[in-house]
Amino acid sequence: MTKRLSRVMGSFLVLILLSSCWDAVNIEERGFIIGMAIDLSEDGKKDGEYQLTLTNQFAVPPGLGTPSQGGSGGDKGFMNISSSGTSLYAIAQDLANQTNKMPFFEHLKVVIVSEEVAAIPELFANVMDVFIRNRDTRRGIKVIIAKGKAMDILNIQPENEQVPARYINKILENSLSKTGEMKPVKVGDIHEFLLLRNSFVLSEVSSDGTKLHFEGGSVYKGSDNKVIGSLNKQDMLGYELITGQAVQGPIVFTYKDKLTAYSIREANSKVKIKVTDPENIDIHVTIKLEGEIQETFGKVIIQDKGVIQALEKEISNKVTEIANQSIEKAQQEIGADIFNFSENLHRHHYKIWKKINQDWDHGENYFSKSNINVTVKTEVRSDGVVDESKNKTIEE
Amino acid sequence: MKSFKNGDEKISVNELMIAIPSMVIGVGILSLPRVIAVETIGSDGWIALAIAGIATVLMVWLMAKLAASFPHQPFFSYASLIVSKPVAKVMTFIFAILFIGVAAYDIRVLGHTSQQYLFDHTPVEVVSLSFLLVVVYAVAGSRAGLFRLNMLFLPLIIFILLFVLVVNLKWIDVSNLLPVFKTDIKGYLKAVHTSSLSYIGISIVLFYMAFVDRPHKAPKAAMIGMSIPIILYILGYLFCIMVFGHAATSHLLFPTIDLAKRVELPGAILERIEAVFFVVWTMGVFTTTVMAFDIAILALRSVFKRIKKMTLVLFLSPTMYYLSMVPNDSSQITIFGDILGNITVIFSFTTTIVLIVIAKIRGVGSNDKKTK
Amino acid sequence: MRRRLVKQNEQVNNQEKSQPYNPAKLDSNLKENILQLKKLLDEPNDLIIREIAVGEDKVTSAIIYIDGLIDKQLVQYSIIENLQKLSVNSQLPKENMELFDGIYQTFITISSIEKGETLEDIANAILSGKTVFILDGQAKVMLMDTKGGESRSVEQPTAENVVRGPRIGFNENLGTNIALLRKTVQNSDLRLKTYQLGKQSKRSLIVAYVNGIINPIIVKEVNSRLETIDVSDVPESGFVEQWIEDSFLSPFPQIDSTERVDKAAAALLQGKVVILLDGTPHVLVAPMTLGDMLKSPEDYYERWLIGTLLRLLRYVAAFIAIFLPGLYIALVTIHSGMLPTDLALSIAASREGVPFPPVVEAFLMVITMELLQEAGIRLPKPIGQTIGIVGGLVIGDAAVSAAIVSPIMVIVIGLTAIAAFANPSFSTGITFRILRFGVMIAASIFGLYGIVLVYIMLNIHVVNLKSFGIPYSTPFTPTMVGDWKDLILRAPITMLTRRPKFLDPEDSKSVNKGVKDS
Repeated sequence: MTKRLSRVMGSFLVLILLSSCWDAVNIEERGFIIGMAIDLSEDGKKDGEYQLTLTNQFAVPPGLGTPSQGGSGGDKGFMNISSSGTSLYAIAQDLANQTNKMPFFEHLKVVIVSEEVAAIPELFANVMDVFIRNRDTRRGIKVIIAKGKAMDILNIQPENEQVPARYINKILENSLSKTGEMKPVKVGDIHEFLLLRNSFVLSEVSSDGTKLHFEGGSVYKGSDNKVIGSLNKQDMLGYELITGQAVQGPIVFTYKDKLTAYSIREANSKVKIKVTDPENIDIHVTIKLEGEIQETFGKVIIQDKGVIQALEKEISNKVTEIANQSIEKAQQEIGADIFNFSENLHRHHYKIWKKINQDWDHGENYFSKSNINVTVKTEVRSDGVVDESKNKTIEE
Repeated sequence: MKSFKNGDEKISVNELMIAIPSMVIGVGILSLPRVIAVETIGSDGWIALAIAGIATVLMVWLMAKLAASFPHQPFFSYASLIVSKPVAKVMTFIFAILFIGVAAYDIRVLGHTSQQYLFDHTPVEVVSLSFLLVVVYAVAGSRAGLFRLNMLFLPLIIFILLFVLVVNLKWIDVSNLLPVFKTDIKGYLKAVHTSSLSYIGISIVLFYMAFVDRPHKAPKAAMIGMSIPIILYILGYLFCIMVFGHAATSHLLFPTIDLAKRVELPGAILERIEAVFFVVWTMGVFTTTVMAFDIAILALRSVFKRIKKMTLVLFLSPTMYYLSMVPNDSSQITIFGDILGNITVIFSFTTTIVLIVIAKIRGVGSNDKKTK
Repeated sequence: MRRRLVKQNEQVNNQEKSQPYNPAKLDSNLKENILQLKKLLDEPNDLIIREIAVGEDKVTSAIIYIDGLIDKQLVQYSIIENLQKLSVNSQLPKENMELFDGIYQTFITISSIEKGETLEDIANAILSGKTVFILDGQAKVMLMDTKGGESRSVEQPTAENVVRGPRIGFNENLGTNIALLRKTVQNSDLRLKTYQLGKQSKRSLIVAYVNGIINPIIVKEVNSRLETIDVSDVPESGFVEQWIEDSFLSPFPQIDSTERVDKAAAALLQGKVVILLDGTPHVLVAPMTLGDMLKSPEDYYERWLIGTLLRLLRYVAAFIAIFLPGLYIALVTIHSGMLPTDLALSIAASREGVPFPPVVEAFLMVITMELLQEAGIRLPKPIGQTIGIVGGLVIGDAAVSAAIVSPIMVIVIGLTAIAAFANPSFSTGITFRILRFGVMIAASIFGLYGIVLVYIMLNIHVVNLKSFGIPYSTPFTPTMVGDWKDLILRAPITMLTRRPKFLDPEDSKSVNKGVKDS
């Protein structure tokens, strides 16, 4: 009895081992897609549907080399494959047939969308859908906009990194947490913005073949469902300061007619909205900066009386100017609430928000009509480890 | 074997206390933040969770009190004392059917969710079947073993849940909680109803109380046990709102898994922990399913006294499996769950109240109280 | 299952009792007795029968023993010499009966003497190393304990090494072992209960426990199980273990075995039973629970901080030893997304060109490792080192460079092996090895989901398992928080004031708070 039972069990086990392992794919047979680029195909619009070109960047592990093999020089560490079609998923399936590997999206880090695609109404949101919906793609995937062709960005050849997408990802990650101006938006955030029909800013980049260049920001307007304008670098700085993102860039200003650079260590902002009726919306933005003087062409001795106050005032003026520029651009030129003030209204002035929700940055466009004041409070912590690097008194 | 101090016949009050959260925390926790967020505005959902929670705690207390006034008596016997034997028979039988339904639903949701997050091609049937086999293995063992399993698994479940929350602290945006108190009464009512469905399963108290060694201490323990899932649910809900915002939470299929998905542990051996989270959640579903199965057997055996336990197990498991495979797609599973949840909540609540009221009127069970 | 066995045995025992065995009584004629004995033993050539005439009447007597089993010096000086002097001694009583008693009372200088009346007694006695004195005209004999012969000296146990702690281990001699135990546990309540096991070859087995500490239920349970043992012979304590354990289907050891005297002594004082068998250095300790699998006596000798850290390390090691190959399979075949991108890429790169799927690769390597381990034990010591070289170099390095396995796999297997050896007892290691295969099979089918199913099943098994009536999963569950002080943590000695609660000892305090220190 036991013998027969064990035989039955044994054959059952063998059956399972042979027939199943439904999901088992050996790791070396997976095609790790690290980056994706989405362009408008050259065919443009066909049969009423936009033709898209999807470029997948596969990491090719042998090309990356293992430490023991010391990196097999000749091989490329990546492989770009493109195909066109209307549905991204269908294109991805088509691409799967072109390689000997099973496409694997769980390690996707960066999605680059060309500005053409982003500028077509609805298309950007539709493109994003596949990333939001699919279980393999994470909500942390970073999305940036490419000036020109997106696939060109994936073809850059960085000198110290073998996979371009990994290089881009690293830059974006650094700039997100520390220095840097590029603030990539994550798929999860986009999902939230799209759901609320809010406007937001995506970083825009270009490449020169070996390096990534930051071009500014593309403004996606929630109500228009497309990218409607762009911000230059200066505008981006203002935008980042107002929205209180981690900015650590330099502020260059003149102090006693000499060029002086102030580096921001910490920046945060507070937005307060005073509203009595929809026609009268007062938005107060307070930006607080903390940092130090890094470079000066003139002479800065902090210990001297009044110097700090004077410096701080200069910096505040400069920053206010930058911020106001961005605000003006957003209010007048673009007409989109990139600063997400509507969310603040939603949270703190629910009743008013309910009334004007539909007409915030379109239609009546209460956003453009509102008053936005910027106050900047600057603190200079130090001026470096020396008080003077050269003796300028003789010259003067 | 001689009855050692920790023999198999009795369960301690603490074990009952652990059993309640183990039973309640089950399939619901994954989608709970969404279903609550859909009905409410801002972070108001937690109020609904709390209200439903307090009501449930009260209910648990009532159930425990009722069962404790008949110490060491199974549900069927004290129900027969209060209402007549035939009525008690019907009640017990309905409970058995409901718990079979709960077990079947859990098995199916586990299979379904694992397909959503863990597998692509592995058939739901195989995942569910393997799970059912493990459940059968557990049920075939001793009843005390089930309670010990709860003791082993619940701390792990709570730990992983809290871990996911703590790691997400980096992402939280407290202002996402605003606005507050903007939901209208109708929304609250709906949300309270939905959240009460996530607290089903508390009627195990009615059945397991017969085995508790010191029944008079049980009502308090049951209340403490019940407050664990309430706190966890509220915490989980608030974190989902703080991390994703209200809008995204109400559109994510399983916000709790997405919370785990959000976690990226740089430098760790595992970059993504949602699979770990899922795996631990499997244990939570397991304890729920096993206890539901066990109660079904317990109830059926108290009605049909002559049937052996193993016969029932062998008969019920194919039934459950068949039942769990009835819904075809996710919307049918949801409907299945909703119907089952509503019936269970309404039936167990009314049964308890009816029993208590009749017991009071007829003065049954009061003798036991006096002796204490 | 066990219960069924016990029942069968009971039936057998009853049958035997119903038809009592009738042993051949001794004759009063010495010649006849010796003839019968020779017949019984078929005249082996190591059977020594020395005839001596005693007393004035030159009554024939004989001493009988088996060469090699006795202490020759002892027999020479304490028996033969004394007996020979008898013939010149005139104070001896003439009466035959009194002569026998007189010799017993005054002349033989052996401390332990029993009396026997049957041929069977004589045969058993001489086979266990006793010397028999037989006097003509008497239907009884003296069985003198002159046990001797070859025995290993007390040495350091080979399997359970510690850095700090006594170096003394049990050996094959039961008397020595008992003496060692008595020396370590100097307690007047130490009780030893002796059993004779084996139908064909008798062996002594001693159950030791400390009265007043141990819960009597455990003693009763152990005794009742030992009484069911019915085998022809018991060469090693493993036989006893397998006969009395609760479930033979379980991969977990339900009775601890040790060679260390300090471990056995500590167990006695905690309220456990120690079972010693003649002829083996491995003594059994019962009951055993899950927590005991990863405890080493050294935990208590080192200071508590390192003791705790070592315990934690062993729990981690146990996790690695059981789950790592399975996790590797799951992560590399099904859940590649869970690995950090860089690690995933480097694993993929290292697996490039390996012809087998990870499942096959892992099984190949795990089986190779088992082979190495087994071969390492079997090989004679001088050659033993070669297996290390062959295993490490040839299998590991050559397999990698021949692209049969990936380097990562070698790391995984190496780590698993090291982790498995980091546990303090051999039987625990066997458990891990068995479980590892289960996890690997489950992982290859269902990935992480399979691993968790196995984990749940393990838990179900453990909570239903018992060791001598005590749930195997205590004190994890049924939860006894007081016992957690000495579980994964090892609290400072001064805080370990109570004996494990799960053993339900009669005297639960292990520190006498009433008496002042020093």
